[in-house]
Amino acid sequence: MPCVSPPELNDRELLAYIDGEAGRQVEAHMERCAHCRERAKRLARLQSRLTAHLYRTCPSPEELGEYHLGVLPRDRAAAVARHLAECPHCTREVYQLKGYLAQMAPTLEPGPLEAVREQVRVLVARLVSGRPGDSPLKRPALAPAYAGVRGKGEELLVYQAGAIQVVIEIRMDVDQPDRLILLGLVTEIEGHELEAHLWQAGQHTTTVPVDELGNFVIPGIAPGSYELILSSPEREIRIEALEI
Amino acid sequence: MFHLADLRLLALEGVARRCQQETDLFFQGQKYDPRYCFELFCRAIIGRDQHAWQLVYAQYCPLVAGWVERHPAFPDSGEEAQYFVNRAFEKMWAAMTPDKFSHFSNLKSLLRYLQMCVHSVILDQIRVAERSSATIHTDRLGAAGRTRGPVVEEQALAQVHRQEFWREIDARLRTEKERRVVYGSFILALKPREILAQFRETFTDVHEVYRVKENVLARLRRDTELHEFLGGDT
Repeated sequence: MPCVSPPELNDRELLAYIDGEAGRQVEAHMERCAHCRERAKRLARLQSRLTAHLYRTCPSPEELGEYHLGVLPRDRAAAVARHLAECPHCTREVYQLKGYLAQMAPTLEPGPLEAVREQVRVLVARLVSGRPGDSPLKRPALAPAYAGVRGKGEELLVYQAGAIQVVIEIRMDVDQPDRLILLGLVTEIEGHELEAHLWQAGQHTTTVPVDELGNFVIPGIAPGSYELILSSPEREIRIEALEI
Repeated sequence: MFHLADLRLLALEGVARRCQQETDLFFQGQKYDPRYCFELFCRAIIGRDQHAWQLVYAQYCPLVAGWVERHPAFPDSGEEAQYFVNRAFEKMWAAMTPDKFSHFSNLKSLLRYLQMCVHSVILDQIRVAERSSATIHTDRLGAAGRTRGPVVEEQALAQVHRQEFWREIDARLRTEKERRVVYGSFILALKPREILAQFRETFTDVHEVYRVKENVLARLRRDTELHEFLGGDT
């Protein structure tokens, strides 16, 4: 059966038709021409089969989870990080996992800090600014001022726990090229003896003091997913799933 | 209170009983000792002790069922909570080797891993559903419904086979633009306009994406080695 109105449509026009993106002329042609409709069906079948064989050739949810928990071997973690850079589906799933684990956190056994200080008031900080793609206009007022102190061009992560704000900046550690340095500032927190504790996969990594102005510095951090806990005798602020 | 060395001297049932008692204290908001439950996991995983793992399952099954029921994707999964509970324990048992166990120093981190397994098994289910949906979605003309096999076949296709197939396809791509079009079209199931948005720095406009896709598909259709996978009538 020949095309009713030669020249027949090319594959590009058929692909656009399948996607619902074709112009009026192509739509009209397809209504009249069984030959081109049959070609479009074959093309659609080819796409269906490719999708069936290839869709989500991605790390498994379990591997993404182990990446997030920091228990993947270094080479696999690097591969997953590269994949996440170009896969919106897996990026979404990691965010879902972070949210789910944060939501479920109270059902876990208290960590060592709570066990020691059961009366401590625990606050879970949420990220309010600094995700990739955030507009600078959405940043809270503190962020630009902080950027002025630390220097321009570095991304700031701003967390909020009640009235307390925690601003975090990650930089390369100039003393250790494969490591990173975390610069932090805590505001609106009363009390003294404030410390910053870094945890990874349930294991304590390091503890540093927070100075009287609220600044703290944690150098020599290997890239990965961490939990940052700011604790004083009166309260504790948790930042979960901190990607460094 | 026992030291860790003493804990290892306790009988398995004794460890399990103390784990249960301490967990009850936890849920009553009282001081408790998590080391017994950690020891129970330790015996199950490091010793690959099936009986210890059954005791872990019995201890944590209700808690894990609660996690499943509170997962945002659970209500639309079409499965019973118990199905995911069992899959989550199976996943942890299979994935948690003695070597990997060394990353976990306390009960909290182990339970967090178990929570991750809950999320993973629910997402496994969602991915299967999404894959069918994405496959059918590409076909405005209903052609996928008439082709026997591939949609069902691909559901059973192991991830490793998908990766092998991708390597075969990838070897036939000549430029980064081609790779991004095929990757975006069939791995991410994006339409050309969405590919343009995803890789904005690579393409000038949507017509270029269509042009590249047309060329690649024509090449793949001519490839005799791929006929078996892509169907002879393509």
